[in-house]
Amino acid sequence: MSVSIGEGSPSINAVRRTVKRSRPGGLTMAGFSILSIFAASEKGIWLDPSDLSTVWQDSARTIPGAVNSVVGCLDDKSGNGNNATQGTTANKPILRQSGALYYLEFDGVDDFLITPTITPGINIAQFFAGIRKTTDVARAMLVEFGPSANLTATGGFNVNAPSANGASNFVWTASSGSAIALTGTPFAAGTPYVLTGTLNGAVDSTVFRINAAQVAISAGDLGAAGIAAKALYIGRRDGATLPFSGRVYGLVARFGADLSATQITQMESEMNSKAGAY
Amino acid sequence: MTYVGPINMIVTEAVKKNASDVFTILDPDSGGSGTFSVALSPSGASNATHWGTRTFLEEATYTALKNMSVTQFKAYVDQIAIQRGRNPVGSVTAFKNGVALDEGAFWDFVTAQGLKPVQTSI
Repeated sequence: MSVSIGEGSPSINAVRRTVKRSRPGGLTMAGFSILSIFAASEKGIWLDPSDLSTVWQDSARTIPGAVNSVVGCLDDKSGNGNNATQGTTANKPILRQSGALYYLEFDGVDDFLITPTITPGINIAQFFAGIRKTTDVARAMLVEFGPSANLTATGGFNVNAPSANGASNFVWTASSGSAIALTGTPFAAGTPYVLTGTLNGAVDSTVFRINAAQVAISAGDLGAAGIAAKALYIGRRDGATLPFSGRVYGLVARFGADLSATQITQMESEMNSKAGAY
Repeated sequence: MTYVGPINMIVTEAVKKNASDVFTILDPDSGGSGTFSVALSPSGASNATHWGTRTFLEEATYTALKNMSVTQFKAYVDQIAIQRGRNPVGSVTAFKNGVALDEGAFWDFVTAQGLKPVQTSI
């Protein structure tokens, strides 16, 4: 018995899209770089498992990452130094490769990564990810900003994937002191998706997009408390419950002024180039 | 370093402390005390009666877990502690005699043990 190789291969079209859109350094054909949305020192994190120079097997960043090996640290490429780490080998996801795509494989049991505490300094946030659920059998928490106990009261966001046992959905929950939950359904397990969630507590705007199309929007009250400093959990609520079973091809969380529609589209294109979702 | 797995392990609440002490030494990384983090109970209600994990193990560790006597396993753990500069564990008996091992699907193993995940109330 040894560490196994990953599942399946992406479609030919997905590979073609990746070749067409991806350039070294994360530049697209149009010259867009994910780093540009952090140019004004916005807080947040950018994780890119396809950049093997950012992947480490140990949490102390001494053993370079390798396909089919555990991941103890994934460097933050946003410039904020918010590396996502896991010091417990049992809880480490695995770096996998399928064709031209790379992803973190979370086992749906105990795998998760966590960032240092991030201080948003603003009540506006955006989240982007290329992911694939392995199953919809059990409720799972793809990401959550901060411990769950005070998510609503102290602001933040999470993505349920799915939100209940047997549900074929994703739910984006956002809060700046009062929570708004938006559901995207049906989006069954077994296929990649690009998820986009935005929240703006200043103007009470919450938007959820899947595969570059809006699936839900709300002008409901997001509260006035703002978003407190917290850590970002990836793959498991509080590192203890609701384990995510599936793949993460790329992930960006940003705390900063609203992005333009063009920037959001470019971000979604970047995530899609990593996930081959559409 | 050659890893095998993933390997499923379940221990009782009473054994968890000893299991965590052992894995503080055996985990090549710094967080071995958090190895057994999946809360389990017969009904799925709190509090956990058992704790599980699904992990890759160094090949030598897995061999030791499967094949060694308690005495041999204690010597193995002590040797690793010296190599890694970690404090030795006083006893491995509770863990070695109490751990349930499996190489299949984790949740099937949990079910076979008559257990369910402890449900979050949030």
